[in-house]
Amino acid sequence: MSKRVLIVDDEPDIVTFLSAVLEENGYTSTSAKDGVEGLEALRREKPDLVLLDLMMPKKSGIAMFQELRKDPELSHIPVVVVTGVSEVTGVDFRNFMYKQPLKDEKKFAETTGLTKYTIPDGYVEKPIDPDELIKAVKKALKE
Amino acid sequence: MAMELKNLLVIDDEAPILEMLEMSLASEGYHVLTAESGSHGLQVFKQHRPKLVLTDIKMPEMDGIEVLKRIKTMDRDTEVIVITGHGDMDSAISAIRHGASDFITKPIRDEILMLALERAKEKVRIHQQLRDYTENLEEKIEVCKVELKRAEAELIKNERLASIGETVAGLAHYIKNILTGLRGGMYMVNRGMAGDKPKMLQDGWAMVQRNIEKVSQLVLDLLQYSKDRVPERSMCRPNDIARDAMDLFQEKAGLHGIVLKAFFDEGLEEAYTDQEALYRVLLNLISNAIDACIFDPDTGKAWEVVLRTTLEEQNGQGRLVFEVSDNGTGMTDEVKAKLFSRFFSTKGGQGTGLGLLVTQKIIKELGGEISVDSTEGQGTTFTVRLDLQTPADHAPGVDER
Repeated sequence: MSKRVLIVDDEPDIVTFLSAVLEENGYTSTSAKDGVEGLEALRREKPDLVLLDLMMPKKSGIAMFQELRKDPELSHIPVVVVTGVSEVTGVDFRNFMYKQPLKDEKKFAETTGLTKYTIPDGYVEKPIDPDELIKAVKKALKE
Repeated sequence: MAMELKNLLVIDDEAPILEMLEMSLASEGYHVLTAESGSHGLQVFKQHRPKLVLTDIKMPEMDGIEVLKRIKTMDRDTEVIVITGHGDMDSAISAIRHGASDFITKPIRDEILMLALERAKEKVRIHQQLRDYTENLEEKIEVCKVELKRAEAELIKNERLASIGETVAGLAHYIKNILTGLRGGMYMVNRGMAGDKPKMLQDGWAMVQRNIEKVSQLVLDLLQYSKDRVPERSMCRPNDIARDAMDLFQEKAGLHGIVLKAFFDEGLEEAYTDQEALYRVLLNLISNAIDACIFDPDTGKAWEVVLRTTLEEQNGQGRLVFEVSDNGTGMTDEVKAKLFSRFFSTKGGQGTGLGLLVTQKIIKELGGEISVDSTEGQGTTFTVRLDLQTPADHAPGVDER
């Protein structure tokens, strides 16, 4: 049985592209277009992995991720963040996600509500490179 | 050898050693100054200011450590090499602590002395260079400061510069998103063909087309915005234009659970206006209204976008009114203030900030006005008013208003 991936992104083109890349590599996928739909789909479908955009209408990826990690039913599902947030905000988000919690955990927790134990299992910057994406997916799935 | 590094002061209370050192160093090209006591040595130092000093440690009255300390307070860049008795490690350590650059032990061996002097000279040179660099740096910083001030003044004078930068950055991001879509589409077309997957090929091709359409729209918007246009008027039916614009969004609205409602004033029959331009205005406003609902975090709402047309009469002048309302996010005062002032978007990489500017420009060209009423969290209404004109208003000899 191929593993199921839930794509949460508000841009239809990105969803189509991501699902094509996943299909090419033997995964099946479903999608949701914001954090609210994303959580509903998670509870309903219990996918093997989530690809998560950070900037979305209604509920941001960060808010959705926090709820996911707090919910004992969902917290085990690996999450790979797929985002263009660094480019939009000018903040090196990868650095922020992975170095900041080690440097100043208190500040990191205040700004994101995350701790160093609850950071995402992978991180891919947009524009998306198919090979990089699949590498991150495999790593998060421990394949 | 630099001039100042030729001068070398040697201090030793034993005359034979002093003479021997003088001869040996002179033959190496140094200009050797000598002194038989610490206090005499300091006098000579004050007079000639050599950069290199070689002093014995064990001397009556003032010993070498004291000489070292005093020279270092007078000129900390002077390198002092001390001569210690065989096995007198304590003195050597004490000398180094007080800033001696090196120590050599008796009996003095020529090659060791020369090596110590070479190292001392190197240190003097490095100090000198550092000082030069620092001074240069200060000069350079001064130049930079002047340059910066000039640039700053220019920037302040030309406020538009900043706004253009912002625009270009925003557009670049928008175009980059389109490129991502095109690349994604290409990937799918390629894989679809290679793997004989017609569905992937079709979806990929549709994606390429969609993004090419986005570029075309962007170019149109840019042209619309940058060029002065004379409206191309004809007799047309405003309600039909409104209906066409609305129909284009039925699918998108349905997808996001938004209800589109139309209230058209049947008394409004024909108007002499620019059909294409008006259509574009309504597309922009409806599209914004739908986005305001999509971005609304209040999921408890039943979102709706309402398009209303009215025929207004004021002082005998008929006016055509279009109203586009939504009950989406609404705007903060900050957003409202920026709305028409410059390229500004709240839609991240999905907006160019051009839509409302183009809308406003078209309405101005048509001689109308646009206004906005918005409450954060409750929704927004845009109202467009145009004088109901006839071909007679635009007959030759009548000025365009």
